Amino acid sequence: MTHVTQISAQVSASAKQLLDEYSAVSGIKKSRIVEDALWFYVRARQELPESAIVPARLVVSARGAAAVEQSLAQPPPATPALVRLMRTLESPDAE
Amino acid sequence: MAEPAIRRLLAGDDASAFRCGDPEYDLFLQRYAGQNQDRLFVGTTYAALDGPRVVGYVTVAVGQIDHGDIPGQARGRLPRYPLPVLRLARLAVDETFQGRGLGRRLAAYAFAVALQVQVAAGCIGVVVDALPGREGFYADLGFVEIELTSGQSPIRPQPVAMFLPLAPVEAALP
Repeated sequence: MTHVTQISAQVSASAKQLLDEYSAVSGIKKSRIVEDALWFYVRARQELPESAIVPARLVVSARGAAAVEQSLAQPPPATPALVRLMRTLESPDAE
Repeated sequence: MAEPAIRRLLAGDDASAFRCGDPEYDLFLQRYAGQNQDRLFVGTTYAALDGPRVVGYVTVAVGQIDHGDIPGQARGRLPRYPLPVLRLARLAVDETFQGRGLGRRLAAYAFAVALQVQVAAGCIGVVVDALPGREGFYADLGFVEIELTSGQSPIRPQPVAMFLPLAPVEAALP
């Protein structure tokens, strides 16, 4: 039998919640999820330098959360610059 | 002269002569964009091609905006669950094609991809990592700065994360 040991780690409440929920939905033990995730993480770090990896999780500050919330609650209209930009999809010469 | 066509990066595309003025962006395209996309599936690069030669690229990756552990009141009405976004992580144009609107076309292409992701898998908006000095360009498009506590781009000098919901992008479609 593979030797096993125990670890303890401080994680965010949201990470803990994600782990709990994924375990409940998938039926996979939390220890297995953590171990697999760690192997994937280390493997990815070994194959690509830090600068080539785009972090997938963007944690916003309270100020950042307010900016996102405001943008979603009241989306800004398409600015003239955005309209001009998207027009380049139709014709590359449209600027 | 025909404008470069934009499509997903393929293994045979020639990026060996790509020079954008920032060696780090050149190296990413030449060495890591392909394996990032085809082996690790952690990001996709769309290339602008002049014949077989890559003359511009934009790299996008799916991501999520998370409120972390902000207390409920400070979080406002931001949902508890993570919000899926498309992150525009890198955009670069070869020096021979700079000043011809190719960077704008690549950005528009990435925004159109975000609209496809919205339908296919869910996506509330685009996050760009705006290089210092380029924030004004994205602000003109409607992006607002979002302060992050983690998940900042590893690129140096450190870009500014900016967010735009997809509603105005959809409204701006030709």
